[in-house]
Amino acid sequence: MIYYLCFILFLIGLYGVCCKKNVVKIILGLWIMEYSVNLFLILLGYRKNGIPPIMSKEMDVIEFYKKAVDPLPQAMVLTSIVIGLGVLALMVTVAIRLYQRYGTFDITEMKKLKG
Amino acid sequence: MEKTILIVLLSGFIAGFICRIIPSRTKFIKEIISLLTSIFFFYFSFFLSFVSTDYISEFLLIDRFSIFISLFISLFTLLTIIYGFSYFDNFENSNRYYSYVLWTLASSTGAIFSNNLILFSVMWGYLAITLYLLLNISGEENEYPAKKTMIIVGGSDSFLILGICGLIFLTGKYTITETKIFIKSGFEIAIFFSLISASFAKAGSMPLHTWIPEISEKTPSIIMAYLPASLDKLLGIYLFARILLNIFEYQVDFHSELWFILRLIGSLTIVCGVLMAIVQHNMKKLLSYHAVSQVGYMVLGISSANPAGIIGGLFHMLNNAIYKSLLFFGAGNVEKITKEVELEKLGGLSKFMPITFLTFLIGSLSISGVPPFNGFFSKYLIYQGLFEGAKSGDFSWIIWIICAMIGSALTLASFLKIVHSVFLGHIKEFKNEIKEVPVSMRFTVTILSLLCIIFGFGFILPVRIFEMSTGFYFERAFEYLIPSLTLIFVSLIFGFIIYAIFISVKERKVSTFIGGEKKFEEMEMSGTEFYKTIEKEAFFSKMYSGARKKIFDLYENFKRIIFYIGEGIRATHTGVLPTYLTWILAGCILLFVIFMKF
Amino acid sequence: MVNLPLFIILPFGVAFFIPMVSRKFKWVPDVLGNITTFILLLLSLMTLNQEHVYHIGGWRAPFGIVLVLDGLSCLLLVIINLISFMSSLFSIEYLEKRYTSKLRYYSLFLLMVGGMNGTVLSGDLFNLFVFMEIASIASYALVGFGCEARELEASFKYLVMGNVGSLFVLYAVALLYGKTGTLNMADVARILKDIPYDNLIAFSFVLIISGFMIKSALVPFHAWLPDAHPSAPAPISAMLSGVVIKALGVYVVIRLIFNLFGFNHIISNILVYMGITSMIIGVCLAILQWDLKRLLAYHSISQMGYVFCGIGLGTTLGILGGIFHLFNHSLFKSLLFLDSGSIEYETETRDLNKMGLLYKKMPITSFSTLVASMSISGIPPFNGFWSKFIIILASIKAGRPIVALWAVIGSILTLSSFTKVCRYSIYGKGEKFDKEKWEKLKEVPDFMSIPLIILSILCIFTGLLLIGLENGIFGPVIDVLKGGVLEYINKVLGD
Repeated sequence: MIYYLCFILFLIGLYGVCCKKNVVKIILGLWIMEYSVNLFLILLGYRKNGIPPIMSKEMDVIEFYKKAVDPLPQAMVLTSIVIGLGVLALMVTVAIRLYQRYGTFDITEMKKLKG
Repeated sequence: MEKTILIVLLSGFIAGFICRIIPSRTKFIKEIISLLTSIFFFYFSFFLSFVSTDYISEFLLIDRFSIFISLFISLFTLLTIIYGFSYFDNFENSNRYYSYVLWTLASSTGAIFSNNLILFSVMWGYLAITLYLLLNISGEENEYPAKKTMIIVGGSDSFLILGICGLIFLTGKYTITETKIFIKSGFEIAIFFSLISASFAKAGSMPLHTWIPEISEKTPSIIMAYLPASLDKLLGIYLFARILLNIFEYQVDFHSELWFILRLIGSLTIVCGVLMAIVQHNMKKLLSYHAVSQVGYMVLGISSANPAGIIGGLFHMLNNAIYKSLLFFGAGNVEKITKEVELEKLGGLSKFMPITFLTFLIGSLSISGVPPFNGFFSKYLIYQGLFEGAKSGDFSWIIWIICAMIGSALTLASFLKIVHSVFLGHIKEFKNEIKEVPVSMRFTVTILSLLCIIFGFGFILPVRIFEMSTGFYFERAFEYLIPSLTLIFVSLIFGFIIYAIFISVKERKVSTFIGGEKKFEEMEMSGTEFYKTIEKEAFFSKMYSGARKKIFDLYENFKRIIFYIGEGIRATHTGVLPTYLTWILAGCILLFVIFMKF
Repeated sequence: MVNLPLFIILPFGVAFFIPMVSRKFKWVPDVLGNITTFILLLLSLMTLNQEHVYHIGGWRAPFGIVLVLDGLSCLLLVIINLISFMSSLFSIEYLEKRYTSKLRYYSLFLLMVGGMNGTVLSGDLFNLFVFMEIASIASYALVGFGCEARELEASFKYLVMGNVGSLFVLYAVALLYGKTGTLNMADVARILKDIPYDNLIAFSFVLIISGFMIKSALVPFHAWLPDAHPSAPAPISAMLSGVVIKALGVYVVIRLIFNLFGFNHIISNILVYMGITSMIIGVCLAILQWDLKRLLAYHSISQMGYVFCGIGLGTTLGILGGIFHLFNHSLFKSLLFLDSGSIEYETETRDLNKMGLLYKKMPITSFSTLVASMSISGIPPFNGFWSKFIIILASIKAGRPIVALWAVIGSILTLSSFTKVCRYSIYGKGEKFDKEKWEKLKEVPDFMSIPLIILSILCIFTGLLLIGLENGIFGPVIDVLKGGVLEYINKVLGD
């Protein structure tokens, strides 16, 4: 169920990217998509009443295997957040420059390149 | 043998490369190199023709036919190079010219001798490039015609490749001699027409002919004489003959409608080409329309599917290459001296340029099929072939014969016109001094006109060689002699009458002028004026105005369609980001629908 | 044996090193950038015809991260590093005139190269995504490098569409991880082979494939390309068209389809029909363009259509044709973009109408333009002819003559649009031709003309690579793709 909610969040972001005219809203839409994917990834590794995936000496291996959350998605999410941040920063920079050039945030006005 | 041929071809390419890189000032060295190379090629072909047996291997196809063609290819190159010594006096692009000519020589020799289909298509495609480059050296005015030529010739090469791929798929063989196809379905017919289209584009037959008249105005006469007039005819008809005689060998009886289409194309080419030629005012353009028209005879002859016609068509190919390059060289002489190609502005050159006049006259008589020059004999053989086609009970031969007759008559008429208005008539004012052309140019036209006469009287020699090479022996039956001769003479007389009707007024005026009376401006009427009346006839006027708007031009029509489609698609690229994202989503949804099961 | 991480570490390291030192020394970016790409080229040539699986940190697959070198990645490595060396050589002089910040340029450039090398070598899905993102971010920034209105607009559109594609990929990777519990591509393939095919797999397949198809600019995912490629500086356009769409797009699509999900006739049909659509639509749009670089960009779409068409046929000959065309396209398209760069460098215009008669003033540029034009139009004896010939032959042999017919029509239209280029730029002149400006033109500097000459020579002679088909450079590639899922699993996971 919660996975479907993630997907709905993804679609909301996609809606924002496709249908909004404002550049800022498009960036926000992309960010929502990014966020939903990250959420989905982290939820994949989630386990109810789980413990952190750090093994100490007194723990039993099988017990640990049963209880610990999956560490891999967490590593992936960290990486993808960093990448997303990079893209976001670039996008915002480009958007600011675009505003300087075109004097508007309306994406449909920016059509010097066509045909 | 492979090694020898490889060395010969490489020598051509390397000599061309050397000519390309040495600086333009050293024209003399380039002349020597190119002369020696072409002599070497000529000598090699000559040497090959004494080798008694044919050599057919995986890569090479050296039989009588290809040797004979290669002999003439190298001969024409040699003559062209000799002619060029004086033609390009102060020509800045001479290093490009010599190297492209040598590359053309090497690659056309390679194409003629190659048996492997892929090797053949490589050489053939390389010829398209050299043609494009040769057209471009004449300067910036020629860019559009050069582009059109490249698209038509190169595009037909793509179809050649398609056809070759089809052949390889059907037979599993890669050689011309081993691929024999029996037409069973539409696929084979598609292969047939895609192969044919390459040869038609190269030779300039009807639907794909439009590049020849287009380039004729701005291209130097020497290049017109070298490529479209002689080499491309030899190569195109060579391919046509190989396709019909080697690959689709034995299907005349089963698929007569294909052969019917070919004959129809041939006769349409004859009539339309000559009708377009007769109204031209530009000497080179007129000649180029005749270059189109004559291809019709070859196509008609070879597709007549009996020995006499095939031999006649091949012989006509050779003759046409000789007299058409002779005529273009003659036009080049006139252009070189007077700097003028418009027929109205020329006249009375025969006194000053006797050799050019004489050779041009021989060429004109040859192309019109006047005995005893070579054009007469090949046309005679084609007529005989058409008559023999009548034996099978097919009555379409009457149409073909009528078309061929109209073609001959109008050819004679238009050549009488050109000879009259350029060499006869009264002398016009020219800026330059009018004198005979330099030795090397005279040499080339003399040799070619001698060939016209030799092949006229000694027609039996090339006919023997063609018979040997194709394996078709026609019986020299005299039953057709009388009707064929009658038809030829009727058409000649007919042509002369057309000429006389239109010219008669002018003749009288010229004589009054010579009689010493005072010259009136309005009395001066050049030969071309009278041919304009043809254009005013009801049916013809529609045809000519259509032709001027290029509605018969395949290239222009396709261009219009493509631009229409392109503009339509272009209008959808509005530059709006949400639209583009919508396309992406639509594509994704399409893929979802295809791959997911609901 | 070449140490595989070097392909990734070297460019990344130099990319971070350049901004540190070159505040003081102006010559550092040029020298370091070129030396790095040259070393990478040599390394990639040394990897030819080798197969190797590198386990990072000694952890065995599927637990550790692996770098996989096989025939396909070998070929792509050679292409990437060859073209990047040519482009960086070209940039030395080119950037002097129009752009300012060389150190940022080279650092982004090397990031892009390293990202692509990583994409090609990476053996697991998430690293594939990460490297793809690094290369993409660098290319987004490089497209907007000029900071003019058009360049920023193109950069933004490319960013949004590219990022949507990346997120599709990330989502699909997450889904696949949820389904199989592993990220290693070979391991995923092994598990997918055993479990029944369901909608979740199909869903993630479509997401990941369409994500990468956005990168490879197939119609209808193509709309960013004609904006982005012309806006970048010319060497970057050469990289984008010559390499990036292949390394990030085509390579990954092929790898996923052939080695991960498995090839079947539905996929084959999809690839072939999308290929034909892009082939024709791309060229129809290109023929109307007057902006030289935009024309070339539309041709990239069309030529990628040929590649997908050939590979989509799925036969040995078809794959050979597709891969060979990919290789050739990277050569002649980057050559064409570099040519457009040197024309722009001298004439300061990209409008075909304003150019003219370049053969008198810029012989090397016009020679290489002619060679590349004939190459892309498939005129023998240049390399484009051979690959198109093989594609046509393959489609006829696969029993699809209609595909061959479309390929021929596309090739004629390509020829006509490139004769247009030759007509207006080299041999003739446009309507707005400026004679006075033309008098002052001269040939481009040496560092710009050397790459042009090298690439044109390669264009003329790479047709010879077909000799010795089985043992040559393309044999291993075909083995990789024909081997399909099973061999890939064996190779990577093996003992």
